[in-house]
Amino acid sequence: MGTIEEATKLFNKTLLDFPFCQKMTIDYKEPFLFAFSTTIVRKSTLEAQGAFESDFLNEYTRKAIVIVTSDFDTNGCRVFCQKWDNVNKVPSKSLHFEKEHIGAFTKLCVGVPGSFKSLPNPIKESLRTAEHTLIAYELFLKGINKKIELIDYSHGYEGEKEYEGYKKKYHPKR
Amino acid sequence: MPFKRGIHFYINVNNYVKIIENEENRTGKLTHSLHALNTFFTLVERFALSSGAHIEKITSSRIHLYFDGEIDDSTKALLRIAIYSLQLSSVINKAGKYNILKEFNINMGASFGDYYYHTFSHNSLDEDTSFGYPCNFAAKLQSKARDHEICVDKEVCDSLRKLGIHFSQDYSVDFDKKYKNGFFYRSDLFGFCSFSNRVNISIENLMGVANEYINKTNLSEIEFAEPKEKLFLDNTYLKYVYKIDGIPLFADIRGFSKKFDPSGSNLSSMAKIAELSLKTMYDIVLKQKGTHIQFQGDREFAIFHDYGDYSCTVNAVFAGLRIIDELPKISYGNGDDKAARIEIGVGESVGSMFATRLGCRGNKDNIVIGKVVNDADIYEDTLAQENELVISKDIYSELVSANKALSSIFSKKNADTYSTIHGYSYFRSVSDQKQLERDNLSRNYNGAWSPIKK
Repeated sequence: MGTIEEATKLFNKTLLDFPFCQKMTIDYKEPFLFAFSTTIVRKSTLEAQGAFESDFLNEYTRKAIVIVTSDFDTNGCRVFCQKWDNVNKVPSKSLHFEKEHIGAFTKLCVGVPGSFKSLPNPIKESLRTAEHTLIAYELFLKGINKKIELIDYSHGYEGEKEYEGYKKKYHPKR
Repeated sequence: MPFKRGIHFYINVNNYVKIIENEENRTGKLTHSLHALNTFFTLVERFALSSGAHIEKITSSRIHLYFDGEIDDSTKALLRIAIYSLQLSSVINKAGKYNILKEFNINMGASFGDYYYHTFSHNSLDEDTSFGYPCNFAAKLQSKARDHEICVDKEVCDSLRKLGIHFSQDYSVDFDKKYKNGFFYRSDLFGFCSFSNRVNISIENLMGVANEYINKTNLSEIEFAEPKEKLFLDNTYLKYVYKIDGIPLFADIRGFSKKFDPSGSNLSSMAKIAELSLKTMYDIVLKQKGTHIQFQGDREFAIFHDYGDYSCTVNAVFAGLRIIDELPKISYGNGDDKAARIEIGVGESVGSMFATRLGCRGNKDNIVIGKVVNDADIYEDTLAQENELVISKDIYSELVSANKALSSIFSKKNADTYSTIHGYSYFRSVSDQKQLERDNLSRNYNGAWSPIKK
């Protein structure tokens, strides 16, 4: 189980890569360490694209609320994103939104259970997965990619089995 | 937005780029040429105002004047100002203070018709600009005029002929295509001078006033500096001239004037569209660290420049891409009718420029001068098609080393330029796509999943 001190330290490191994270207070159904709001975009992307936060707050918004629970070091964070109007056009096998929501924000599952166990910064990795997922959706919905180009797993137990096979090939950025 | 009728009149120093290139090559500065240009414009402005003309603004080496009212009421004043300007250029050419300069060769253009006057107010900026056929056509006519010539449309020609001025007829295929009227009329400005008596211009008085002004400002007081931070021209004037390495940007709304209903029935909606379009371009320029220079009708003129370790190239290109992305979102009509959307052309070039403020009206006219400004102007005006950004090959070369993904959305247009019809959001998608491909290939992020089988 992760502690609030560990999580805070990792959150501060995450800020270096994801600059728009800001801690917030929120009511949530379960106990949690802390929550933050963010616009999910890496600093390196902002620089390479000459972009501003407002560029990511349009019809393909990256605005999100993130809940850091004490199991974050194993299962990652709970990332809630604003669902885009056309997101249901994403093929259902690649659509990783769950039913749980906080207001207008719906939970996006960022990994199979236990998949964050070996990762150096599960908070940052949760955001990286959400970012890649949203980019893949956006490119598909804009017609730029003909299919969803994303590392992801089948829903349910089948996906957990796929992950077991794939995890040896996974090399997280450090 | 007031609807008006009158003559728009441009007076231009036709060889000014050659004059500054010549002085810069000889002295490394532009002290004499800028001083001479300030003398010319300041005195023309004063004379024009006293003759009943209005001054819209000075744009580079050109002054834009206009007259409200019926044509025959204004052509006599136009004739006076034309004669005065020609004779003033002759006084400047003979002035000892400017003897290292090549001679000023001036040309002019004038057109009559309905136009619309707009004051753009946003943040701390209040700037007047006018839209409409005579504003654009007079500028085009001026660009057709050779040294010491004036080109005018039929209405102005007919009115000046009544005063005894001779014109020869000419024809332009380009004018015919763009303005549905290819005929225009030329006259030699030296022929105007025989009418000096009829328009009450005393050459002796003129020379006295001009010489007094020429000797007023000491050339050694003009300081040249390179900006150490983003340029603000608000507090500068002729005594401070900035030498800039950077990129001028011109962005012009295509066919905007034609959208005005002659009856004035859509004035209020057009005023809103004008305000929104200019504001959108102005905001994009500032967002990408650019400096707004001036609106020229429905056209934005801005510059981006280097300072310290900062290179402006990528931001200047982002600004161009954002403009071709954002402006077409503005519609003349309702709903999603694509035919009703604004279309825009953008041109950019890179090189050295000089920036200052000139004129007699409180130094309110930002002036940026250099061959590179003319190049960017031509790229926008003659090369850029609807919703296209045209950049010089030198900008493209810098992009290839500074941001390969950005350079990849441009293709070669001709020997000197590259262009794209893809806006900023397309570039972002290309950049995202490449990043995603790399990360997928190296499998360097955790895979998404969902607990519920759907």
